[in-house]
Amino acid sequence: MSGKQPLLELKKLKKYFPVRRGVSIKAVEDVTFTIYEGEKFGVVGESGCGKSTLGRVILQLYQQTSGAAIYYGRTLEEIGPQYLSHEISKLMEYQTKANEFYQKSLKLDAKAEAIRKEKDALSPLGTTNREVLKEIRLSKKISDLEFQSLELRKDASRHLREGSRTVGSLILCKDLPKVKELFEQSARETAMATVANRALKTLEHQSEQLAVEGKQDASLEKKIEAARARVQKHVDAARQYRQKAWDDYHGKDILPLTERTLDPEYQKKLDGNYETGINLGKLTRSEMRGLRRDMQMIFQDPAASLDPRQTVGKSIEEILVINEDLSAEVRKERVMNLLDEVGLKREHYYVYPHTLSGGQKQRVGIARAIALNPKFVVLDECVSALDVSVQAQILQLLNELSKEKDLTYFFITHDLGVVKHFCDRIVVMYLGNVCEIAESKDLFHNPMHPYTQSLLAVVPRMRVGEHSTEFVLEGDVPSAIHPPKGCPFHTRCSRCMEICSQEKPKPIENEPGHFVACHLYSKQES
Amino acid sequence: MAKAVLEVRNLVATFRIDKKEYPVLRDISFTVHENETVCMVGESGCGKSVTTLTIMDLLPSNGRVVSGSIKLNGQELTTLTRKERNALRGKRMGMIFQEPMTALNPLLTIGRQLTEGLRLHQGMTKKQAYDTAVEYLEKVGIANPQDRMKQYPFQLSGGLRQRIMIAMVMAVQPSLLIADEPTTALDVTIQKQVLVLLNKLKKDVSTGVLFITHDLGVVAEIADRVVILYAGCKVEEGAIGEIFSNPQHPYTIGLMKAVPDVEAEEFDIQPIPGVFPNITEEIGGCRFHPRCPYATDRCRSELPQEIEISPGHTVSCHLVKEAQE
Repeated sequence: MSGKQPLLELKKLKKYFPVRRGVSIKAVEDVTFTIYEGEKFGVVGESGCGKSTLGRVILQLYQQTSGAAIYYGRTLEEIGPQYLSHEISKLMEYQTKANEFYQKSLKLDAKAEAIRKEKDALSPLGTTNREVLKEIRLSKKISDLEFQSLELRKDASRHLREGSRTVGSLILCKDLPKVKELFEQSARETAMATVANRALKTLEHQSEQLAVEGKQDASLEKKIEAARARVQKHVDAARQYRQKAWDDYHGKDILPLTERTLDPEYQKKLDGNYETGINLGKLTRSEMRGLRRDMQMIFQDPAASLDPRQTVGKSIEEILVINEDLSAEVRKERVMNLLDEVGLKREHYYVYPHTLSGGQKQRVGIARAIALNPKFVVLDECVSALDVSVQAQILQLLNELSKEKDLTYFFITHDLGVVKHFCDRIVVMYLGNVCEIAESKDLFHNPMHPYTQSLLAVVPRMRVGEHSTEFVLEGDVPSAIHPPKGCPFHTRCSRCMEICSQEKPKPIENEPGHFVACHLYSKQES
Repeated sequence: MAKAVLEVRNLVATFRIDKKEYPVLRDISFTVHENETVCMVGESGCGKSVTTLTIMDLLPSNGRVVSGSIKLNGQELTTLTRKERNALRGKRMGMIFQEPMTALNPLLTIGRQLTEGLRLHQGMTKKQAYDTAVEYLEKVGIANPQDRMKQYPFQLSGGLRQRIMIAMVMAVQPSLLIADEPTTALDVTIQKQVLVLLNKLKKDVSTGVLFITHDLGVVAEIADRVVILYAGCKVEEGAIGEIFSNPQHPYTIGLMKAVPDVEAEEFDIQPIPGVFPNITEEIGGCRFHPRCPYATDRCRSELPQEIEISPGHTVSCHLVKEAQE
């Protein structure tokens, strides 16, 4: 696993849909995992488990409620996102605010302590009514103060956490202004690199056009060389500034901002927050649109995802019209090639979607998704509406395309048979929560979470006369508006313990690469 | 051998599209016995749903039965009048549909809908019908049946609605139950619950079940016998064990290979090449030959006859016949 490059990292991703005041559907809850480049990553679960929502949140079709989706497919220098300089400008604020909150909470603690002393000074058993009343009043005051102080501390660490996304544990540094300066310079270089990159892209595009027409231009080649060097210069400079900040200030002169800041473990944690990729949730609309060419989606219902009034050719070509600046002939040629690639005939360019079968429509959907050479494709139940013989054809096509084009798939499905044979790694979700993440062989050989076990047990098998009723689950999936307290699965779990209804289990790496969120296994750990 | 509940012989049905008649069922024959589940399998458009609609006399206005016979408990259905068939529907044969939400009336309570059939077909009083309905709700594993009787369909989950459909149909104790993809819209955990339930009730009421599905895994779990359809033709029929261990028709074999099974260790996806034919397409000879890897000239010109290769196992394929000879 270590040899693989991460492409997308989800950190505590949450998505709530508001229903009415104070009530929301908790569709995705604290989902954390990493998808590696070139991987076919499967998501399985019953309807309503949040798998589709998760796919859409990753693509930023829905705005996440909290958490982050970090994309590593492009460097910061290529996109030059606006949020970068904005975050850097707020660094000082994060640090001072965190300290302020912490100091305030200390004051409240002191106050609470004073009151506690006053309370202790009262006679141990209140003899008169007045004394009893006073004691109750003081206790209430203490708990109020303690609560406020706790909230302030939470605020303080939240500010530090926000800051650490941009500079890691350097946010604790005494010399933050200098760090900030270096990062500002780095951001400036990043922005310049982005501009240079754009210029380079235009030049490259011109040369491509010329190549298609069969011409060559030596001066253009030179210009491209120069532009490439310019980009590289800025990219290097941006990296150097960041590196300098890191080398000079990391782990030195740490301020005692809160009680935890001197703890090396905490510093490590902050370093872990440091984002080297692109935080998709913070991009502006137009920046995200630019990234869309990298991240595409294929939908379940191929009929509904095509415009019935446009020919197949026009439907595919539309994408190129919007995103690329090509001449009409080149564009048509590209579409024809795409039709070849997805196993359609060139005649299909001129036909309307209603004349195609379900499998052929899905092929058009695939052609549209890969038209811009994406890196990451979300496949939302893309074979569920197809008959088995056609389903197998489409799976085969997707498999070939992923190899040819280095695609990374996020494959959403409810069909365990399909996911077993198609995906490299699988996450099992239940009510918006991750139950289990494992390589697909591991998951099917050694399912650990009771939910995974019962899912596997009830899948219809191609064997006659071997159907147990052992793991059949009782009842329905609970409502996502009022999910059960503790482990979301405890209401239907046959191995439910007392702790399950109290505390939510955290995903634990039980075996290398095999994560389970279940108290049955966390107990063994401790 | 148990009593035959449903006998379909040489059934031919057509749809009229643009003033032309296109056959959708071509010479279909099969039998459902008492206490037996017959699964009808095939891809969409193969005519499995049309078969059920023909049996229930629910074909759309452009469809009609051209020839063949349908016998329910020995009584010929095709010659009956509309009214007579209407009286049989719900009483002697019940149907469960794929989408339980659209099959239930959203404006009436569960109780009202459950008792309707009982009062109409069994002539029960309101009280009797209520008690029977509650009894059957309990049978299908619904907790607090009295409360459920007062609820409306929108208050129930998909699995519950499908249970109520089953209770509604089974309470009348029909001799034939037709289930048209009853679990396709449900999640696997709920699907399992419904399948277990159907199996139990079948034995209780001793009904014959005609189960339509496209999921071979479900077939393996519930069927006693399997009928495989392709483009309006029956290509293979046999006992469940026979079909799964010894499939003969190239289409059946192709189907089995195309299903990604959770049990299989290694799976090399092997799709059936080509496209499923449209009903307006005229294909000479065997209907499957354009997609068949073994097709010969004979397959292209001559429609294969059904042959029995072992008791109860029939196949329509020239190749199998030639191999036998």
